[in-house]
Amino acid sequence: MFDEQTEWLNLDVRASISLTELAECCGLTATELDELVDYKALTPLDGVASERVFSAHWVMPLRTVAKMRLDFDLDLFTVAMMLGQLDRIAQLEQQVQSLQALLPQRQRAPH
Amino acid sequence: MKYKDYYAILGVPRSADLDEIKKAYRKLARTYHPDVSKSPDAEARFKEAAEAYATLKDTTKRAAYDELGHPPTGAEFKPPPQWQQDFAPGGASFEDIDLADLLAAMGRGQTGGAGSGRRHAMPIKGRDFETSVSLTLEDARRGSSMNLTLADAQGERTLQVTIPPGACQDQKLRLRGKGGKGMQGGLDGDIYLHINLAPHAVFRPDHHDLYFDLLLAPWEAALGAEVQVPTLDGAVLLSVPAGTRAGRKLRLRGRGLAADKSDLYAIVHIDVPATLTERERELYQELAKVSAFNPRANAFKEKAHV
Repeated sequence: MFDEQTEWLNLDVRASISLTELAECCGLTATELDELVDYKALTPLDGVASERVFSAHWVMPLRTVAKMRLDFDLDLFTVAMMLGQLDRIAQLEQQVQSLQALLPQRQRAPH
Repeated sequence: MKYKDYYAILGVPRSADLDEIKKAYRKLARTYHPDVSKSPDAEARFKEAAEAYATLKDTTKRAAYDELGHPPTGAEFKPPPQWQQDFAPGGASFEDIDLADLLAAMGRGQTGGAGSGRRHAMPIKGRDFETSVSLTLEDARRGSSMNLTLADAQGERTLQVTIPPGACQDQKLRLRGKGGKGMQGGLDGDIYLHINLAPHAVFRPDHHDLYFDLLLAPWEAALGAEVQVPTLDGAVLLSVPAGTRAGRKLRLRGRGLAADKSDLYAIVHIDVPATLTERERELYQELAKVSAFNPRANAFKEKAHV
């Protein structure tokens, strides 16, 4: 059976997402997300909206840490620490990709 | 209903306290988590441990489970009469219900059995699907269509999707409400798509920009030249300015993965013939005599300051 597609949403810094929707996406409650903000693991976008708004790039790392929280029964502070580390890893991976793009083809590490 | 010995699964005594149970679970989870273990039975072992832990970490569920006594693993058993009242007031049978489903339902305040009455029907969000696709750079620039096959307890279906033009490596996309159907008024699940770009023989992506190596002869670099270079849309002529040095990036505007918003860069490498003809050797020797160019002059100066 074929189904019709609706609009893709980009999950990167170009898009934003409300607190409620972010909570739905990652399976955490709004209160838990607020606690991650208190721990400075998650940063809302500046603005005057009645509800907190976040960059959509948080969706996938939050889904990852929320799943690990369930799988390993982690507390929320550990989740906050992991979120920071995942973000750092993502930044470093991006830097590696950028540097690899500049390397001559024959000098690149195999995939 | 078949009995499962959750204490044995976690490897703890029946008198174990919550800390012991948690430690035992985490140890098993670390060993058998599908992201970590390559063992063929890892996923099953992990699920089994998670099921045991979900019950034993919850005081109410653990008390209910302990009421069952200690029949052998796999033995058929009859739940206490109170369970019938709590979970199947309509008189539905427990026979086809899994113990884990029943205990999980206890946490949600509802029955686990089909056709039995519900105490509090909580909305349940449909399943989210996460999948990845591999695109060629050409498809990433142009956009492409593909079929995603989604299978869950509700069956299998195929969703035809169009990946928008201008995709890049590790891009994540969300298709809202196209995952599994929600139940009891819950939202439908979503689809999350992770884009991977297949390695290309010529181009290397960085975000939406592309890079490739452009080999120039020494005289092309020194005198300037018009050279034919590849792009994802076919070959084009690139003007190489006179005096182009190795490592310089020459930009072809709008030729990256996102048309008009990203660029293609040719990174210049200057190559020399491995062997020279007699005439070429003479010309190079002549050039060496007349040229005052010293490529190491600045490098030595910089080193002297270190």
